[in-house]
Amino acid sequence: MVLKRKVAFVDLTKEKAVVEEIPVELRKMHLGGRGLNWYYLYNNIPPDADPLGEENILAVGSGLLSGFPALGAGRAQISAKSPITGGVGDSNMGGAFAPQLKYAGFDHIIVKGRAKRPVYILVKDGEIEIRGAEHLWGMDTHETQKAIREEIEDDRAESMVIGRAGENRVVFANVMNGIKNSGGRSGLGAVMGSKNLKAIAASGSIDVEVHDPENLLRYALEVDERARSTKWAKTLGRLGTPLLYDVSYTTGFIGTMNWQYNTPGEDGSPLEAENLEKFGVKMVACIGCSVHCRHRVKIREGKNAGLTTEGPEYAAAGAFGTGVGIYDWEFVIKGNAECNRWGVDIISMGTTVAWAFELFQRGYITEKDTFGLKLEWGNEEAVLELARMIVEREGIGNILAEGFRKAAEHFGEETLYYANQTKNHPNLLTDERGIPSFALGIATSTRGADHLRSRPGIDLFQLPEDVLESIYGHKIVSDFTAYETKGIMVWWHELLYNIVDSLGICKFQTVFNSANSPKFEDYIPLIKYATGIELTKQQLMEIGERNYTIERLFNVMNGFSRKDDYPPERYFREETKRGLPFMKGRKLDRERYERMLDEYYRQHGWDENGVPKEETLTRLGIERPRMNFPEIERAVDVRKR
Amino acid sequence: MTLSTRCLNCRKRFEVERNQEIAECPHCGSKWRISWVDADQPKVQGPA
Repeated sequence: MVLKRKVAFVDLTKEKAVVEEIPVELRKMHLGGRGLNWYYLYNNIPPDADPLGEENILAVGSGLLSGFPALGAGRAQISAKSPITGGVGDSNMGGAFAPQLKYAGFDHIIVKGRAKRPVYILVKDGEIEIRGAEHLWGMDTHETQKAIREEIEDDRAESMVIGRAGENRVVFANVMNGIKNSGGRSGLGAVMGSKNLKAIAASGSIDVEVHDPENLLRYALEVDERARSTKWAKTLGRLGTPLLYDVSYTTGFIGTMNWQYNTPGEDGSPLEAENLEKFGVKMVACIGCSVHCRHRVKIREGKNAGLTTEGPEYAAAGAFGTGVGIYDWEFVIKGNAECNRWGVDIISMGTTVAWAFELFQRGYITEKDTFGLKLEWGNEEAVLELARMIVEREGIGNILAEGFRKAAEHFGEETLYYANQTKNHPNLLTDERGIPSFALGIATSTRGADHLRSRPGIDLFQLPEDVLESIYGHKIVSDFTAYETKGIMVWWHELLYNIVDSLGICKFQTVFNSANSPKFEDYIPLIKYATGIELTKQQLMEIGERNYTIERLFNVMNGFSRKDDYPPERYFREETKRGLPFMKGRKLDRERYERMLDEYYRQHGWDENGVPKEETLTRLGIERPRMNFPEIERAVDVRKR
Repeated sequence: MTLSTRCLNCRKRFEVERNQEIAECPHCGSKWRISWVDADQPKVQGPA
């Protein structure tokens, strides 16, 4: 077995670390990345831990296959108790950090405590060093990465860093690598900021041993060719994720002016994906990926002339576009670039700003609150200035930086109705009212409202039911406006996306928006050839189920239950007003939603309150939390500077 | 080679002539502006 990889437990308070080999048995239970992160966190974070306190633990994990030639397997998972939700905080980051972490000799870094001064952790060729970061504090995410490379005289080093938002503990601050790769969701940048941890930098040249290199390369090329030849991947490689905008604004499921509308209609045509191409320099990719879905763009004229950056993604077209009534790629590019430098989640920022604009429209917020800033739809200056105020915690920005629930204590509890969130986590600018499977997905996601935990994008295609049965192994209703069987569909995607995150593979290399993309059975040979671990499809699905149930248990231990598994109340009360004929006049049916939720719980083996049953835990081999963080007193000192 | 794309209204696939910029879905009558990912792959860009 070639899996002799390491996990480092770092205590920033004591400035000590323990390094252990990850047992192969744990790999067979959880794989790596997201799965193994949550094994460690479930077993070590006390339920009453303050997300921004010393007791919270930050886990950084390289996917089991990260660093191997396998379907864009270059992804890292960053996890902790979320300061937004108080439950699972979890984010998946592309770029090039995860492979470097592996080449530095570590698959997982588990960080607890709080440093007395700003620091960064450097892992290099098996060594761990805690370095002072006072000189980096205040820098944006791009400056920080550059400064670290210069300081350690290593151009190959990759860092995951925080910017001003993380330093200021904005609850939706993110973690960044490169120009735009982000561990965006859950506020993990704020967790790093609370630990005085500016960055984790990795560099190394330690070989990653491969079980069967010849077959791994052969099979990786074969499955990559299959994934790359799908219509989805080809379109993604040309237009990037903005391609989704064309579908969502035409059909009518993109939140507009804070979900008062479900599409901007014709007004939104300037944001069609094809119109971004005039800013294009080229398409680029994360390490190990052949799709190249990321735009590198340059604004060539006008007030922002010279701005060169990467992105924007579909999410930004909502955040700095439809959500605030602006239909201009140049502005979206500008807003996207600013957020990436500040180190703040674009989705959460956009949804929070859009909420503030609607509260202004309705009189809950006035110019007195905003120091004269007019939060009026389409006001570009107000959008960017409010975003900056949030990052710097100035004025009303300081209130919004705390998230919806705390901000509503200031603006009035009734204002929460206008906040598009579940579990207090801001939603992507998608309007799920007309698509019950999407609505269930954002409601039950362990990290709160999100599109990347279970979204069955292929539901929209209304594929023949025999095709759906061959994919899902169950009878699935083809009509995407139906509720029946969608609980099973969401369950299946939860397991699949958990496996993908645990392997370090990109979501765009799995059944998300293409039925022809790889799925469970296609990953089995990759795992075998890379690591020597042989799994059946059933065993792989069971790992996904085990990992997902552990996340659910973590939330249950922190007070979550059925009451937290509902989409925004607005989706039940207000009908959609625009879009294609079948999408107009749609809202969620409460009774049918309840039955869909019941079906979803049954499929998971959870009780009617969403709590995993004892028999389910026994079947999956999940034990009570052990609280087994290694005895750090016995550890050797890390190198310090 | 038959070139086709999916209608956003009825969700059925329909054929498109190479380089065609506007197309009507024969199943539901919706009219779409068509863009081309490459010479062989059309997609709906938006309503015509």
